[in-house]
Amino acid sequence: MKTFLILFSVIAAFVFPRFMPRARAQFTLHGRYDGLPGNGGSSMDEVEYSQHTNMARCLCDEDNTEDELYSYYFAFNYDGPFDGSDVFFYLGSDCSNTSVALSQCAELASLNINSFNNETKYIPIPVNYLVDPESGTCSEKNSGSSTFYIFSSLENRDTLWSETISYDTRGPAPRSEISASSGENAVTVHWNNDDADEEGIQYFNVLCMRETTPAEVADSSMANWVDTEDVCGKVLEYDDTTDATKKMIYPDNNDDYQVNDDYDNDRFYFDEQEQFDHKPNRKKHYKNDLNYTCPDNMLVEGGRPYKCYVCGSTTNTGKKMRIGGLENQVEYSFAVVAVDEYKNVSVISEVVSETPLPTTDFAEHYSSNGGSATGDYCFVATTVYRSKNHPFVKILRKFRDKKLLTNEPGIAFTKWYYANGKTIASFISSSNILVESVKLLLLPLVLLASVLLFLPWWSLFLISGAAVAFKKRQLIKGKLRSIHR
Amino acid sequence: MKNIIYSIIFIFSLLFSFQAGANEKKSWWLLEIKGGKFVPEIDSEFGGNATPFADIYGNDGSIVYKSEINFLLLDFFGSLYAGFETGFYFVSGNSLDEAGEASSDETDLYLLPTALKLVYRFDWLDKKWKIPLVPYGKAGVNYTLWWITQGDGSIATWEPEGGSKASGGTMGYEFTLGVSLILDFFDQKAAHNLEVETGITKTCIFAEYTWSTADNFGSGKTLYLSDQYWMFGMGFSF
Repeated sequence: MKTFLILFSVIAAFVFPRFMPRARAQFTLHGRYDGLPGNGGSSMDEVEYSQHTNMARCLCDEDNTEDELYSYYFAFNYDGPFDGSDVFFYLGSDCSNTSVALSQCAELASLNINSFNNETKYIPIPVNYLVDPESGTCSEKNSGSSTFYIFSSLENRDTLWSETISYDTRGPAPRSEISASSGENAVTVHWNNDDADEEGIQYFNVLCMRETTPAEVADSSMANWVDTEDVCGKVLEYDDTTDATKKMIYPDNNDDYQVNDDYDNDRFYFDEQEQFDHKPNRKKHYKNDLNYTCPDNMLVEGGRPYKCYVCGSTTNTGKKMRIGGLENQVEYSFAVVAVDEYKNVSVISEVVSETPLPTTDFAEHYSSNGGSATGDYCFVATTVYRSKNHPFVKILRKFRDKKLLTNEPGIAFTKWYYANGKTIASFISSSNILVESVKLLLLPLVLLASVLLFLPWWSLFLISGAAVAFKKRQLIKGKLRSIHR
Repeated sequence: MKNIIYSIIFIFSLLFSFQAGANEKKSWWLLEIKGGKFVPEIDSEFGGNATPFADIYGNDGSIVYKSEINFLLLDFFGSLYAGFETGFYFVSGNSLDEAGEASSDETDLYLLPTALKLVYRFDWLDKKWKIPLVPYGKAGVNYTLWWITQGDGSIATWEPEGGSKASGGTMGYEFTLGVSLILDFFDQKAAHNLEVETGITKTCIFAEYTWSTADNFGSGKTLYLSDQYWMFGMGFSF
């Protein structure tokens, strides 16, 4: 019996697992990272993630002679049997279809499943291969997508996990019908905005230049697109055609752009954690090293927009923008760029010139014709109405003297007001909206004060008595009517 | 002190009198929403020698939008209401360049009119004979806050080099005559449903003509905002 039991146990140990259902292999996307956490990368939110697939990021790989592999990462956890099998990470279109040649898809990695044991794995998603899975050539494509696959078998393309990744690497079309008109220390720039929704435009930026340098009001903090220098520290130049043949240039003063990392030129293939860790966080690396200075005379139609020329930003419904803070009698140049939801920027529009000139607004025109208005208000709160001699001020002052200061509660209120009034007035004067609101609120008080000041006391009594008598009469009438019914 | 006590008695007496009649089915409030073309007579100050308003804003003015709430004071041969009105007016033009032509800079005039008024509605015809027309008259004082903006949207100054801000207030008085048409007359079932569901007892449309004099009672030193104008709107009793 003992022998039988031992024999049964041995057989069961080999046979039963074959008939038992296997634990399901399950990959869980732990997060999307802009770099390896070990190299300072951090988890991206939805907006950062979508911006990561924009044109600038893609163009970091253009003229890819030094194997520039700008990627973001999918972080995976695995829950399932660790049976020593391999899993394969691919990027492309319809790669799970066995009739599609694998060469049309980008192989990103191949890992042994055991390497996931208690470990998060980071799979790189190179943006240029996202756009072109076959050869990894960056190009402008609008609203495309590729699918990320995890295969358990390349023969059958058994898919363990997949996700479609959208991208947009094309900037909006340049704006047309640019015009400018002068104002006082300002110029208003107009543009065509009929296709903002169609082009997915989120913002317009107005660029301005005085002679050959950015105008005095220009500030790169107003720009809201993503440049290659933001992403990979390289400066992208456009040809002078709107078709935008682009080339990358490296800052002269930065030798760090010579990358010597040991990558496979044709495919990304990381099967060991050590190789993942080799991938540098270029974004941080280059951004810190780039000693970028604003180049002169860069407001050129069809050219690359530089953030240092941005003088204003407005939403996608805007058709014009007033650029203030300019000097009268000085000629400025203006152009417009459009920025899409992925922070892609269009090339520079037609460049127009205009000269700010002095103008006469209605207040000045009224005044110069001899208008008498001085802008006083009729109210006591001198802080609010800025005049001690206004009739309303006089009314309230009189009310204070004749009514409030003749009784204890009134005296107490007046004392409180003089103790705290300055603080309140100071607070009110800090905001124009508050000042205007208080003016409105005080109006009924002035009118009430007027009534109390100028109406004889017995008239109030008379009106009160008449009202009570009238209502009582109506009440009696109503009751009589109901009795008759 | 004596006057204040009497004032308190007065207010309480009024409240008591209203309460006394509250058991009758009565609409105590009337809300009006209205609009009309308004051209402030700012240029009248210049006696025909200059037309700064027309130069920049033209002669067409803009629409003033107002709402007015009335509270029933007395109900006898017609109804007497106390009313408070507020509104908004905005007209936009372009600053003039050195040649006197319109530049790209906008300069806007904003008005925030308010008024306290007494309103008499001759609704006896409606009550007695069910004739859905209610002529009415209004009289009151008004106070209008105003400000002028320059090209960058900030409040303008009177002089090119700066100076005091071009904002202020103008007081005045106004009279209004109008007539309202009670819509309940045309669809009493719908009117009844509206009353049951919302408490609105009467709905009307109206047209009124206002003579407004707003020049700080002739004391000057302010924008003259007088005008005579039509307004049209809807009213709701509840």
